[in-house]
Amino acid sequence: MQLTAYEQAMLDGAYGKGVQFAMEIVVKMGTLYGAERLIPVKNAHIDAAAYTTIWDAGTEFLEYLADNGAKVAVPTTINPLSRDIKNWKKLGQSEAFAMKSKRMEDAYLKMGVIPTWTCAPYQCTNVPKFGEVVSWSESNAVNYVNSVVGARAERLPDMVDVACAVTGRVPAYGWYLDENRIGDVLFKLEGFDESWFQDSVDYAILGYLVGEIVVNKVPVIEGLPERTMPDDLKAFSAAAASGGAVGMFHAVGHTPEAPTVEAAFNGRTDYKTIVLTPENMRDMESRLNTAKDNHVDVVLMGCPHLSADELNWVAALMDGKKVCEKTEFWIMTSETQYNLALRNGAAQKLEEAGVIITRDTCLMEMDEGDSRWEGQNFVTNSGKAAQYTPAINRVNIHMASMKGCVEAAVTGTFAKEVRV
Amino acid sequence: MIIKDFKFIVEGNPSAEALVSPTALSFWGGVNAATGMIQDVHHSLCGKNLTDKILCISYDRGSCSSSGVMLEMIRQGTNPAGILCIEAEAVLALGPIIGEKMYQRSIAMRTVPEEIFKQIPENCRITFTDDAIVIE
Repeated sequence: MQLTAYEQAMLDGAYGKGVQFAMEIVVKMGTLYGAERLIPVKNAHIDAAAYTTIWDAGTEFLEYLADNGAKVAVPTTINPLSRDIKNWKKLGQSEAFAMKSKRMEDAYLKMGVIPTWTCAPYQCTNVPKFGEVVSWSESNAVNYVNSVVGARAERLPDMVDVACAVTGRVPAYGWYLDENRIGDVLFKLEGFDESWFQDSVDYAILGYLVGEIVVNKVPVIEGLPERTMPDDLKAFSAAAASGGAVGMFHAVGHTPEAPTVEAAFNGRTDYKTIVLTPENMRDMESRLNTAKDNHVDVVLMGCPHLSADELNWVAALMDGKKVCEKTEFWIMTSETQYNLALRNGAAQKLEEAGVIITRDTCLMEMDEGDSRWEGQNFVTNSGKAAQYTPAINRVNIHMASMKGCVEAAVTGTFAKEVRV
Repeated sequence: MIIKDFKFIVEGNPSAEALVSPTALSFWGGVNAATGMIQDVHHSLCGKNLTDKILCISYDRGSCSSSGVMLEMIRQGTNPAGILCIEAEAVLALGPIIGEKMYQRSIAMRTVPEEIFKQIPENCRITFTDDAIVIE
């Protein structure tokens, strides 16, 4: 691999042992994936923020870097933690567990990260530009900025994301290169009437289905309606990166590198075409729905973190209603979006109705291994939560629209939404 | 069966019982780092323990945090002895590589072409040698 004099100096230890270790990881990774050079990045987003993702080993890794002078080289935002910084006690988190998170937070603050603690930084503090090379991790966010924004990102593993932010470099591989951003498989949506894709849950189910089929290839989706919004594509990005390892997709007419099918495939014609119908969607939904009965213990929204706009919509749907006594309604967001929702009153309205709004964290990352939610029925609009909560929190799932989530929280009962 | 057509991702010559699945797996969420148990209810190996086994999965999937889970497994000694897959995404390969640097322990990892991967039987023992993968 060709290194510039500056990069070689980092590798040789001229900028301290922390930067040197980071550069060793970046170079090792580049060599493994056949990169001929490194590329400077404009900004970074780190995934490895929750204690329950990188554990004690990851904490030791972070402290080694921070104690040896490593600082992030570019503006760097960061993912949710394993605790809600203001409300961890109120949420029933143990002191020992919260302090494990605190130890990691301290290492990151020492390295100079912007403490966003959110998995949807692209909706608030860190918005890359089209074509910009960035060092991002967090599977939903990589997929979103690559596909919806058209920035250049790769699915950097935890800890490599830290190493890239510290060196300000990524290896030239994968979706950083033009030739790998071209579509592999065409998905044609057929037979969907107006009742479909009115709510982001349909985008989540579609994303999971597409991810399951293509695993790590670049899917091209044709036939999404005109009304598709960024929050819908956020739901799709997260689910496609959970049902599979999708980190780059094209939605014809909606994402910047795919004004047409031809553009998405860059003139290639040897691609496979798969037709998806409402029946495929119903089948996918029933496979995600693992709950055996209709009672509801927890309604979970905010995977990825809700935007201020989504908080506003949920607040409007909750207007005049209360979360029923036997049910908890959890909404996960960032402190930034929460503060916006305080300014228009949506947050107060939700909290008065009995909704728990967590910031800086995620219910999956909060699991202390104490079986707190084990065996419970969860209702969610998130394909990503439907993938991970059954394994991490050992719960059962019902998928629902935003409206369906609100009704489940108010009545304590899940009513299947039937489309025409 | 002796496989000669493979790629080294992480060095090492383990010999162990295999856990084989055609389904991609996310270590984060899918595997309990403290016990080595596969807990993804949507995965065919759910309920199996991968500690000291050779894990054969088509690909990794999902979260970028799988590298963190694998590093913690190396720290605790709950890691598989080896991994054999079709394509080693960076998310799968980097945990073992950082583990080697931090704890001087790792997870041997190799990749084989898809048509060879499909021939690996469900119940077998796998040995990584210097120049081959032996399946018995």
